[in-house]
Amino acid sequence: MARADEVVFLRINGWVGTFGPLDRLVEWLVSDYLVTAVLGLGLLALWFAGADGGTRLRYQLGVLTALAGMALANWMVFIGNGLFFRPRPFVDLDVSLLFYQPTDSSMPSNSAAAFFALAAAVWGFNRRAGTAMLAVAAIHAILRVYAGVHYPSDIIVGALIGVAGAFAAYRLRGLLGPVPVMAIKAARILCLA
Amino acid sequence: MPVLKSFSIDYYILVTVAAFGVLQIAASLGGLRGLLIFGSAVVARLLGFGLALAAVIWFFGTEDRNISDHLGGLSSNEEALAFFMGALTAWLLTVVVTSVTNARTYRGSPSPRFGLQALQDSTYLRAVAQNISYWSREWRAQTKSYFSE
Repeated sequence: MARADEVVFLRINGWVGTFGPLDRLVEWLVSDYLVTAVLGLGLLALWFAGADGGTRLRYQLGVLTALAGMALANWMVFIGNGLFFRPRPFVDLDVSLLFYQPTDSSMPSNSAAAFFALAAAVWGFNRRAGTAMLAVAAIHAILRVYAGVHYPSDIIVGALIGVAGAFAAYRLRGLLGPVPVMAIKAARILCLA
Repeated sequence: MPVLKSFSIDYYILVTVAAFGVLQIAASLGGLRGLLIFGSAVVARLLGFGLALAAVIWFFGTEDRNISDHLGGLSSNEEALAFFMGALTAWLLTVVVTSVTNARTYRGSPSPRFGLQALQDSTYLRAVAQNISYWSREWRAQTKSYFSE
């Protein structure tokens, strides 16, 4: 299994340098900032974008759920990192690196967990936006392999953790009852929701 | 006294400009005309997309941004804080600018229970002023029914 992981990693990472301008674009896309900002701004847009009061309330509850899902996924990754450490690919293999050399565990991918949690939670209340966000999260995850900082299994496990975080957040929202709706109603007084 | 990293400031500017643009797009999608700088939804979306794209190109085109937080990049907490501050700044800029530019156009008096919905026919400052006036008078009588309905 680990051998297959390395073979797939080397195959994908082996394409680095084939087309220089693409690598430059990948450096932007795999950075810690671009996809984070894009997904964060996507949530900001969803907060305001509902065409009527009912839709807006559903979107806003979904945005809060997505943030909770991301927090839960990060917490699960934090726990996982305390139990298991996997060296990054560039430690053991001859890698073409398009990213700085992180020192934390390669497995699971923290960014995949966070982005898939956001995207899966958004998919729960808006299929079109959720699908777009899932596509962005998937492209980012695959490009992290291309850039040489994750094995394929790292991002698969990260994505599963993210989806689990989103699912847990939806269940948690059910347990909280009317509290999130009351918070949004309070924000309406200042026209923030 | 902690010194703000230039990286933090750059990221804050990226988010502020991009969020300002995204708010224009979102306001046009949600029909929140009181938040639009220009009346046309098409212009708002073009402006929003252009601002977001320009901010990204400026941020990534001017310097190498793949930097570890140990070597001048941002930690997760710093990134989250800069994002929040940038989004907040964009929101404040939007409501102040549109409350001035749309003051004569959108003078509706929507229900104080509408929240953002009020911005379909009113500017932000006007709607908030009405809400605060209403709730400061009616909070004793209306709070329970408002939160329970």
